Amino acid sequence: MNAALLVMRKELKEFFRDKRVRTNAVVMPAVVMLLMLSFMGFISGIGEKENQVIHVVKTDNKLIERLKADKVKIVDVANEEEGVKLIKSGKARLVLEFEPDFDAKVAQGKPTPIQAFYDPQQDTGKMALRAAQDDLEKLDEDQALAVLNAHHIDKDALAPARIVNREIRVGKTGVSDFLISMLPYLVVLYAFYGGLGPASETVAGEKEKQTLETLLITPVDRNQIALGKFFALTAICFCSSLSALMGIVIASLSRAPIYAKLFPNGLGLSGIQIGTMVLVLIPAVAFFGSLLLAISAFAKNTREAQSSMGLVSLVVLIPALFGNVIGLTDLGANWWVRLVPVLNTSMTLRESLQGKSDGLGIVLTIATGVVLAAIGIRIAVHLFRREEVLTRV
Amino acid sequence: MVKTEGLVKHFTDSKKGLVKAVDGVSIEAHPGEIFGLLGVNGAGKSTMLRLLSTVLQPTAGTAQVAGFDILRQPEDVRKNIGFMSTSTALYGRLTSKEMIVYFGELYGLSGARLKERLDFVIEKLELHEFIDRLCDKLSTGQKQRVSIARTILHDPPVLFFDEPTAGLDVVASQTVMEFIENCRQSGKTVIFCTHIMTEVDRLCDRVAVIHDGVIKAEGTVAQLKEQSGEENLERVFLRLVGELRGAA
Repeated sequence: MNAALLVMRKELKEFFRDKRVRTNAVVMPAVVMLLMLSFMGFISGIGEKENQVIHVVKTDNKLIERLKADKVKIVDVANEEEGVKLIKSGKARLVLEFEPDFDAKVAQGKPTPIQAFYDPQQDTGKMALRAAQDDLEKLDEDQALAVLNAHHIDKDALAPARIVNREIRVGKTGVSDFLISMLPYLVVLYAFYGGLGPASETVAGEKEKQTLETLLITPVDRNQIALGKFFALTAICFCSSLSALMGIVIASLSRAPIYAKLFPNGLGLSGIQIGTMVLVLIPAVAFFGSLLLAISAFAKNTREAQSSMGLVSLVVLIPALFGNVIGLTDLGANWWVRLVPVLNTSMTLRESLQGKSDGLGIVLTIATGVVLAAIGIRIAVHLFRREEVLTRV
Repeated sequence: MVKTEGLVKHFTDSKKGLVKAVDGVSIEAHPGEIFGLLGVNGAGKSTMLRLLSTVLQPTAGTAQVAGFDILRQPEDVRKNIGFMSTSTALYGRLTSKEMIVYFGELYGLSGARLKERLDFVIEKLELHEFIDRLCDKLSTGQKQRVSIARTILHDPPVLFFDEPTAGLDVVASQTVMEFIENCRQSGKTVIFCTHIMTEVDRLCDRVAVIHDGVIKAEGTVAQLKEQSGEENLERVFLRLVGELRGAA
């Protein structure tokens, strides 16, 4: 077997026998993703009407009927004082107090204010108020329409000018907006972070444990040793990224109610989209593998390697984050953005998910990744040939 | 055979400036001989072995190991040496067997030859009991035996030992010493670095005392004693390195 493959096989065997690597690079990305999606699913459901509770000073009217029809939970309170007490003790989010002849006044078009008691510092109170306002607007609209009809006035006469939305969608996709916004960022991020632990062990750790010298004394060329370690690290980075992706796949396929809002169309990824993602991801992962290997080779020990990698992680984090918001600017249209590592991968992944892959963008992104990975490997191999680097501990 | 000619290795240290770790060393060790390099910590013993095993490149001078030049044929040199140091240097998450096989494969062994050599070292070093155990779970003595197995698996004609008994108990040290004696009997060229006089007395056919990177004296133990007029090897050593106090 080729020496680089021998080294890679041994490295992978050691990585996967390390509980920390199994946890951090293989299990955690999927678990963290599932937890995060569950949390986001929960958060997105909080604002829904069916999750709102409104206290009402005991009465009944059309608005309350409408709220009940929208599955808002209505709880009666005896009077205003009791309602205020409940708000202060945090047991109620919003208390509404209506005038006794509310329905009649609405029907006659007379003003009938509704007292809304809530703590403006509590988001739950504001959300309950929003639900009440939404149904009240509908009630008012119905009333306005009834008045207009009674006077034979067309409702369009009140608002003759209006905007008609004519959406021109570029690209076809069944992927939800949530997935489009989060997936590229997280997949790229995990590709780097999954490799951090194993990377610090692979050369710096070997220096520390004095096993590196034993390896250097074998007849195997140092390039082969460096390549073997690079392949192993790249595989771990890729594995970590795929694990994050698996978390999303599991969440979308589970059809659990908590994920329903995040994945209204299921996963919605086509084979071409998945293929493009893998194609774009591989050079990026190879770049991360070579970068981490070079840092580990240069460091005296695992601690030094970890702190250097911590600093470099910002170089990955910031472009990945920017890739998430670049759609708010016109920068994405510039070809040179495709030469910015990490940012280009994040952007190309996003476009693929949106179903508007750009051939030139994909080629430039892959080419940049390949060139950077080659430079990274070259540096790592160069460091493997410098005795003062390899023997310093 | 191992032969060095004016071997020099200088380092530049940010604090100490120029460090002459090895400064013009010429030695010769023959097959079936244990050649001792005796010196205090930092004398240049380990650097010598690193040069001979091609981990480091000499600043000047050259050396031949098993008939190959360390500068021009480093790969051939490495194929023909076995190196064992103070540190057992094992991969903790590999089993003893995986560790030995991994190095066997790196040395180019495969198939029947690898199996034959593996069986041989398991038998010779009595590794049966823990051959499938993770190296992290082994005792120091067991680790040392696996380390020896790794060193001799490819049957190299030249063996380097860098303080191989440091940190070992009496029983484990005895195993290592017996193994080194066996190497001599099987015609290997052995370079043995140590600062323990009793080991030199017991094992070495010839000794070179190295201090500050320079060979201070070379010969058999008897010759060194005779040249220095001392009866005790420890006093011979201290005299040579200029540390003998109360000497006449």
